[in-house]
Amino acid sequence: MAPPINCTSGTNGDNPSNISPLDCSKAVRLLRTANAQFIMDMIEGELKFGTAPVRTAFFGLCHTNLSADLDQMVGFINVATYANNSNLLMAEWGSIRNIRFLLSSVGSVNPGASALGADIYNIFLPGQESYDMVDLDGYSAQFIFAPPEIASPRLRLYQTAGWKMAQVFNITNTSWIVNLRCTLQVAI
Amino acid sequence: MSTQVCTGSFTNVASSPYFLPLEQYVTEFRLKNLTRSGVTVGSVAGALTSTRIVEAFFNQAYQNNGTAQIVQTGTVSGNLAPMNIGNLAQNGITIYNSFSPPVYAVIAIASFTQGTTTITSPAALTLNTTVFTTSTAHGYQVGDTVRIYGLTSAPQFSGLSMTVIAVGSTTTFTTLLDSVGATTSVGSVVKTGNFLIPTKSGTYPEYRVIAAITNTSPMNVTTLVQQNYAVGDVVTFDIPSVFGIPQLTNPYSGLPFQATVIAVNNAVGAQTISLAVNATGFGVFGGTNGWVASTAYPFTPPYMVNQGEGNINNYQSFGVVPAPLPYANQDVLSFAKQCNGARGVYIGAGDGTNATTTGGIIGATVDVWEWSAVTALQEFPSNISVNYV
Repeated sequence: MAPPINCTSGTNGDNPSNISPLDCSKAVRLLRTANAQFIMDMIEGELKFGTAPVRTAFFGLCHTNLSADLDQMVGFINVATYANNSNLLMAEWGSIRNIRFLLSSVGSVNPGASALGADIYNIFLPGQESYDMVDLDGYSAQFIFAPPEIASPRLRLYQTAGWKMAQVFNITNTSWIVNLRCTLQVAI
Repeated sequence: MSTQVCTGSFTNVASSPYFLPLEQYVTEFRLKNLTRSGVTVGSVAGALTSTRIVEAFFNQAYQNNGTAQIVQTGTVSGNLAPMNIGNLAQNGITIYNSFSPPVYAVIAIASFTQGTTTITSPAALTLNTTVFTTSTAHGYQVGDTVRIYGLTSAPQFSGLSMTVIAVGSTTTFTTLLDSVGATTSVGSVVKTGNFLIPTKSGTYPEYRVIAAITNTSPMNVTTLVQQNYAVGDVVTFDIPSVFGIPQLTNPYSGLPFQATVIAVNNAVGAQTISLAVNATGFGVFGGTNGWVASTAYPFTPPYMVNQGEGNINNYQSFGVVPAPLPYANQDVLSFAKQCNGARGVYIGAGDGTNATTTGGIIGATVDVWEWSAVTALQEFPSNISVNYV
């Protein structure tokens, strides 16, 4: 498991608190002190109105429910104001300090786990080569669909769909990955 | 439609629940207590017994988790016993998916007090405990994992998960939380699982929050939940500065402080390991009281983090004999094994009968059980073609 850090500089009175710029800085400091390498290169400033440069960054992998809280942070740069959008990912929401946030509706949540009983959102910050994947040859994730002609050939009443995989993920260095935990300030 | 049937057997630990890891979707699950039915299996002699649950059935489509339809023996006469059928209301069978775990009722905490317990392994230690009193019957068993939160007068403990190490009454339970010096508080507690069951992350326990650290050589670390470590495992620490033991974090070199496990007592209520570290000169964990005061709230709890595995070749100074030579325990793979069983069947324990409140499938004896899990393959009607005109 990635070592957890609770956000403590937010203002919602919970533990962990809502995410704040200072918490982001602390998480980045911990990773850099452990010599974790950034994932993304810097985006240099350009002569475009309303845009801003983006620092070299770790990715922050988190739930889409955090999007409003991210927007509330002073200094948060939405992807629309990146100086250059050539390397954007579909899931990217924006950046602050040295973190670029990627959101997913299946991001990690611990229901009711905070000090006040609120949901805790896990923001995973992996550095380069902090985890790897091992899979058997030709046995990574496969989605297998059998149409009625195959699944129930006589009357063709049923079809089947499923997946199988033989691969595992492994944390190679727990010092190069951090789980920044927070709760929400902006209620759902 | 078609089905798949998977069978096997296990031997239970007396009065302890059993978790059977099964990755497949389980439509229905059946159990037979061979020992209490008089059947000898291997070295376990059959002993036909009166008033014992000998069969159980569970189908998650119709029955509530934690219950079971059971068959219980009547009074034994000769080498036969009559069979009575009924519904077991508690400590039955739960089809468990750790990625979508059952949700348990929240119980109000009325107060808590401090206590102590002693252990003899891996070292003779007196551990501080906390006895929680609930406003209503909690229904917890030893080994259950609970999370406390909303402690208004003691927020420093809020959000912590811990193992129930003793149940004093229907409204009291004890954990290894060190609450010496803290103000008692009302709050809430909710069961989140059991020490046998993987957490949502697929590993268990999810995080090992440290309950106590001794300033000894070797250093002993107690955790709020079972740590499931093995000798030879290597751990690191994630302890915020408010806990006053900076020797276990290394903010300057960037290198983690690593320690090798040299002794383990993973039993519920002990939950302590010894590490090849001389901690006699270290700071006192948590300061005067063993846990930081409410004034430090909010903070990150102190964690022990699984790092990997090493060997125990070079710890003769801690009294560790390398075995087997020359590599000594390099392949324990305990961390990898902890990722098994994200899904499975949890079989409850009680007195082995259908009694109200105290009843449960597994009783106070060591029995051999035969189980079978039936998976009805999920197939769906084919799409109806729509011809647009």
